[in-house]
Parts: sequence; C-alpha cells; structure tokens
Amino acid sequence: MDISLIINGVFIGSVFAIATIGLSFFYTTTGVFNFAHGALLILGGYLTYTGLTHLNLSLVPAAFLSVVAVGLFMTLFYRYALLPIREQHITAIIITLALLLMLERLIVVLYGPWGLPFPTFFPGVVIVSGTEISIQKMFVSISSLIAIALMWVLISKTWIGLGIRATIDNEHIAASLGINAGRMHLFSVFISSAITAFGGINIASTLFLSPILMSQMNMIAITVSILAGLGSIWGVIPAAFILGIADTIGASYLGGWFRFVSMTVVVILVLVIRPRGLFGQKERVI
Amino acid sequence: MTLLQVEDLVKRFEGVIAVDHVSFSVDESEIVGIIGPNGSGKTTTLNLISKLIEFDEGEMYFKGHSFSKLKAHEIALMGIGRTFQITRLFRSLTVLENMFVPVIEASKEKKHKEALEWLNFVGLSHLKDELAGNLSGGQQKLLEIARVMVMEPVLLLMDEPFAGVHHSIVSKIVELINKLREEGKSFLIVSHDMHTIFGLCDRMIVMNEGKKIAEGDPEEIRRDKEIIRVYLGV
Amino acid sequence: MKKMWNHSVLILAILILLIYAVYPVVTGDSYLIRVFILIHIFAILAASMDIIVGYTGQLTAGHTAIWGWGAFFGAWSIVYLNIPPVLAIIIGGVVGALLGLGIGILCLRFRYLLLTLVTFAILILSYALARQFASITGGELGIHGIPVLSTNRIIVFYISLFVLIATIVSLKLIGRSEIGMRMRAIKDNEEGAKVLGVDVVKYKVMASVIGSFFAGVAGGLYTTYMGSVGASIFFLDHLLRLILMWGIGGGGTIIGPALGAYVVILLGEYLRFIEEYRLILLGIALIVILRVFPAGVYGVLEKILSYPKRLRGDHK
Repeated sequence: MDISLIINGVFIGSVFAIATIGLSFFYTTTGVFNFAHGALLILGGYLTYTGLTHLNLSLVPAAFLSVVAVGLFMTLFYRYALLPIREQHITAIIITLALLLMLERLIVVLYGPWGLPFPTFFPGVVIVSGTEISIQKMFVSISSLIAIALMWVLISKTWIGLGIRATIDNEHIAASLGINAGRMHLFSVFISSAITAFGGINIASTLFLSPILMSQMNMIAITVSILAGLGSIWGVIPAAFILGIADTIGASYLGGWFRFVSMTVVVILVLVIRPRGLFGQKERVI
Repeated sequence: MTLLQVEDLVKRFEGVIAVDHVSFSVDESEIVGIIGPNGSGKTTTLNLISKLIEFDEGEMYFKGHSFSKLKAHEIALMGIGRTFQITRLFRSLTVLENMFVPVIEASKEKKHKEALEWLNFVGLSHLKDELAGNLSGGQQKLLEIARVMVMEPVLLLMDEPFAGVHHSIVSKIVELINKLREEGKSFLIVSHDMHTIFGLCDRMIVMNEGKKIAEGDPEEIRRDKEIIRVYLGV
Repeated sequence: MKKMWNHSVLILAILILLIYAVYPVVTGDSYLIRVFILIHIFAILAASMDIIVGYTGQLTAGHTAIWGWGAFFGAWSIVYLNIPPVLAIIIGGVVGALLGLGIGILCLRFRYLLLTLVTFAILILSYALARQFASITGGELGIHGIPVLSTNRIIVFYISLFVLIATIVSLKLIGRSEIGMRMRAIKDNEEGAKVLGVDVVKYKVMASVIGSFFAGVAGGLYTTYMGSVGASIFFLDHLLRLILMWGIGGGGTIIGPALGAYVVILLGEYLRFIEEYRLILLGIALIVILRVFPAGVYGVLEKILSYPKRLRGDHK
C-alpha cells in the first residue's frame, strides 16, 4: 500500500480528533448534544481570518483571540439558553439546531457563501523516504494532539478537572459535597468550545475556509463521537484515527462520494449494532 | 441550641403527598433518628433538607437562618453533609479522588492532608488509588462517610448508614458517630435497623404516610402502642 | 379546552378562512398566491411532523428526507409511468407512509438523542444518494420539466389549501381520539404508558406512518407545483426551517406548527430587506419562544381568544 496514503490517513485522523473532542466533551458533561458544533468549529477559523486580515494581527494573537471569543460566546449561550432547560431533551436539541442555523447565516452574511483564502503558515515539504509531507499538515497534526493532551491534563490532573469529572460521574452527589455543578458545566463548555475553535483554525489552515465545511465537519464529528461511544471523551482519539485512515483509503479507491455515504452508514450501523460505540459505557447512552 | 429547624415541610409527587406538614428540629450535639415503614417519607425528608429535590411548602432554618432558597451545593458548603441509602460514590474516580472532591470548592490545600487523615481513620488508605467502583459494599460505605467528613459538616444527614454492611462495620460506624457527637457534631439518621438506632439516638421521630406521628426519646417510642401498630400492621 | 372554542371564535375562524379562500380570486395577486402555495406545502409538513414530535415525543430529523423522497417518487411516477400529477401526490403519500413504516420500525430501538441522530444520518444519507445517482435524480441540478398540477396558480392554490385543511382535520381527529391520547401518554412517560397497557410499539410506528404519509403528500404536492425536484430538497436548511415553524407555531397542537409555517414564510418574505438576517432573527425568536412561551404563537392566540370568556367567568 502507498505510504503517502497512511501518512495522509494519520493527518486526517488527527483532524477528525480535534474536530470531535469538543463535541464529545460537551455532551459528556452537560448531556446536551450540540448540533451547532460544526458552526463553532469553523467560526474559530473565520474569527482568526478576521484577526489576520482586518485587524492585522499575527498568527498567535489572532488564534488566541478567536479561541477565547468562541469559548466565551458558547459559555454565555449555554448559561442563558441551555442550562435552565437542558433536561428537556427536545427543547435542548432544537435550541442547538437554532444556533446552528443562526451561526451559519451569520457567517454567510459576514463572510459570503464562498470559500476564503486562508494563509498557510508553514509552507514547504519534507521528504521522508521518497514521500513528500507538508510541514503545515505535520504542524496541524502535532498541535492538535498537543491541544488534546493539554485538555487531558486539565481534566485529569487539576482541581477543576476533578470537579468536572465528579459532575460527569454524578451531579447530585457532587452537589451534596458542595460542588457547584452549574459552574462545572460552564467550565466544560468553555474548554470544549475553545478547543473546537482551535480545531477550526487548524482545519482552515490545511483544507480551506468555507461555510460548506460546517455541515461536513458536523457530520464527521457526529460520526466519530458515535463510533467512539457517546459519553466517552478519550475514545474519540482512536475512533478518529480508525475513521480517518479508513476514510482516506476508502476515498482513494471508491471516490469522494464514499465519504458522505460511509459516514452516515457508520452512524446508523453503530447505533443499530452497538449503541455504546467502541469505547462507551452502557449506562451513559440514552 | 437549635441547629436545624424544619417547619411544615410539604412535598407532593403528582398528587401523592410524600411529606405532609412535617416539623421537627435537631439540636447541637444531638443524634436524632427517623424511623417508619417503607414509603413513609423518611428519605424524601432528607432529600428536601439537602435540596436534592425542591419542596413545595414550608420553611427550614439552620442556626436560625432560613436556607429555603439556597441550592444543594450551597447547603453542603453551609455545613449540612449527606450520605445515601445506596452508597453513592463517584465510581469512575479513585478512592483518593473521591476524598478530594469536597475540598475543591473550599480550595484549601491544607485540607489535602485532612483527606488523607480521614482515609487513614476509616482504614482505606492502602486502597487510595483503586477505582471507587471496585470497593466492597462495606468499604464503600466507610469511604462515603469519610468523604463527607472532609467537608467538616456541622450536621450530617445519614440515610440507612447500617444497611447491607457487616456487623463489624456497623459497630465501627456507631463508634464513629458517637465520637463525632462528642466533638459537637449533630446527626439526623434514617434507619430500619431498630436495635442500633434505638441504642444510638437521643431522640426519635416516627413517620407514617408522610406524616410525623410521634416524637420522643427512645424509651417513650418503644412504649408507644400506636407505633407498634404501624410497624406490625395489626 | 373544547368549551373555550365557543361559537364566536368558531364563526371568526370560518370568516377568516372564507376571506382567505376568496382572496386570490378577488385580487389575483400572483406573487402572494405563490407564497401561499409554498406555505400550504410547508404547513402540511409542519403539522404532520407534529404527530411524531409533538404528540409522540420523538424528535425526528428525517421528516424532510421523507418529504424529499415523496417528491422524487412523485416525479418519477409522472416522468416514467405517465400518471396524472394529482395521482403523483397520492404516490408521494404512499411512499412516505412506507418509509415512515421502515424508519418507525428501525427507530423503535432508539429514544431521545439516538433517534434524532439516526434520523439525521438518514437525511444526510438521502442527500448523498440523491447526488450520487444523478442519472435518475438529476443530482444537484435536479429533474426539470415535470408536468405540473395546473398552470393556473389559483387552481393549485385551492388544491393545496384543500390538502392542508384535510391534513389538519385528519391529524386533529387522530390527535383527539384515543390514539392521540395514547401517543401523548408515550411522550409524557414511555415506561408509565407501557405499565398502563399502552402498546408503545404500535403507537410509535403508527405516528411515524401517519406523519410520514402526509410528509410524502407534501412532497408530491411540492414537485407537481414546482415542476422540478433535485438533491437540494435534502438540504439541512429545509429541516432547520421546518423546526423553526414547529417551535414558533407551538408544538403538540397540529394547528400551531401550521400557523408557524405562515409566520416563518411570511416574515421571511416581508423581511426581505434585511436579507439573510431574517433567519438569524427567526432563530432568536425560536429560542425566546421555547424559553418564554413554550406553547408558541398558537398558545398565545388561544390565550387571547379565551380571555373575554375568562373575564365573564370571573364576574359570575
């Protein structure tokens, strides 16, 4: 098999992972499945674009501002629109769908329906045993994995992370021990939205920046999170690589349409055969 | 001095009245027991005090201040701890992490040490890195009690602390409760274990069908014909 | 509830309906007639979604997929089998009902979020399939030149109005019957309904079949009005608009979501000057309505209409 296919598969896998981890974390803590996830993702890319072109910022401050802005926006939205009604599942899902509609429209209004040129920060290629690898893609893969690792440290090794994990495990006991579960939700929403925006910047810098990306990435994130198992945050990583490599190989043999069809078929099959996915716990699947 | 005062507490579930105008109080350094048949509203009463569920009517005071409007976590931080009938641990967290959860909001690093001391006290420190879900039933009960103690509660609401654990652990828990009471802590305990609770409590409350039907010291309760009728169903 | 709809309200409703029905003949405003036909189609879709979402509590994202396949099968039956366009509407309904049966049975194993996710995947799959098999679906560009119901828009207006009224009346009758009561019981508490002897499987599938039948009818109507249909019918946008209609109108009332179609499409037309911002505004409106008046526009109207009556009641 072609080595470049595997390398590209690994790259796509890391993109899938950073595109999904926020969705999965958001759902695991709050119990709300955020259908506007894809919109938050590319919003991160668009805001960085604004920072780079309109505000003339350099890459790091532009990326930082966009990550914080998306995180704060979603935290406020969650606090006022979702937190009070998150147990009414139909209303909660509809509100996230309404948010998807609004953000999609807003992006089209502000940036136009067509793709925008997003700069490549690290041009050039390195050649490893006869195969060209784009430095930009390598940077995206590595920085995505570092971001996920930082998130892991935050959740597994800090006091706030412990509070979040206790809230995920059982909100009522956490409250009976003095944990403000609502605040833990807000922390989680901020972290998951911020990492999602960061993923959006990475995706924009290697693929392109266009509203079309929103629904594609939404479908990818939904598929990966279901394959991993709803409620399994870290299962997203192996699931993303499995799907990323399978997707790259499948697309090269069967053509591009394979991507959309295979994603939807994976969702339906996994939910029919094994609703808890590859790594999920049974009791978390509702 | 009165620590907890509950006045005319009412809770309805879809038309069924689960707690029906219940009033009582718990003094400082006092152990109060609540007994009654299944479904008499004992656990619901504890859940209302700790705000795991909202009550419909009534008023509650802690150290003379109303706390009816506080949220569950605020009540916990105020000093009302809680243990559960079916031990509720964070099963996906380790024993030590379970112990640290109450310290997060207080954010006092010195309490770190206290968590370890309590773990030592209940004899679970050798299991500190085990997942809480893997402990035996008795160990889980002890861990739950140790965990709530890290919060330094003034009043502890305990739901069936003696159910489903070995005799040796029951006497260990009784010993612990007596010791803590001497340190000035108060307890409100729901139990089916008549032998243990009669020996432990200063005062008893009897509930039936959501109502408080009797209150008094264990001797009075033991002699009460009505209570015997409720229990034996004669 | 029923008492509230006293005679004066009923007369008022009939009067409004009559004015509405003669309006196109009197004015001949062809722009508004086109808008109203589109509203009728979406109102059928929104009302039929309500029997699945508002009554049985299953948030399906696949309703516009069924609508789309109803439209495609309607188109194919005209193009390949040369049947009259009116029959194609019924074919759309039958295809819708069959799909509803399949999806209903598939979704029996799912509740809440999983059901929404599976039906969401079905919608995306429908789009991918329609794009892939462009030789029969026309792909993104679609099939054009399908014989229409009538070139006279006024006739199409009346046909679609008739279908809309028939849809609302039959859904309302089902909703008020014991079937509707059992569906509501499932929505309130599925386990509880089971215990009370409600055949949950039967009523869930039934809701899916009934709702999907009318969605298919709306699809047949759409394709025979437009004279074209393409893969874009499966766009997520249609689903999102449908959900706007459902939520803004007031779910669980059948008439509410149909009213929602009027609100969303008319506002969309009259707010053209603010262009794309109108959908953002409608999104905000949906969120506010869900949080502040969950009963929607219909619930608010109901309150206003019953107000004089309650006043009189108070003075007794």
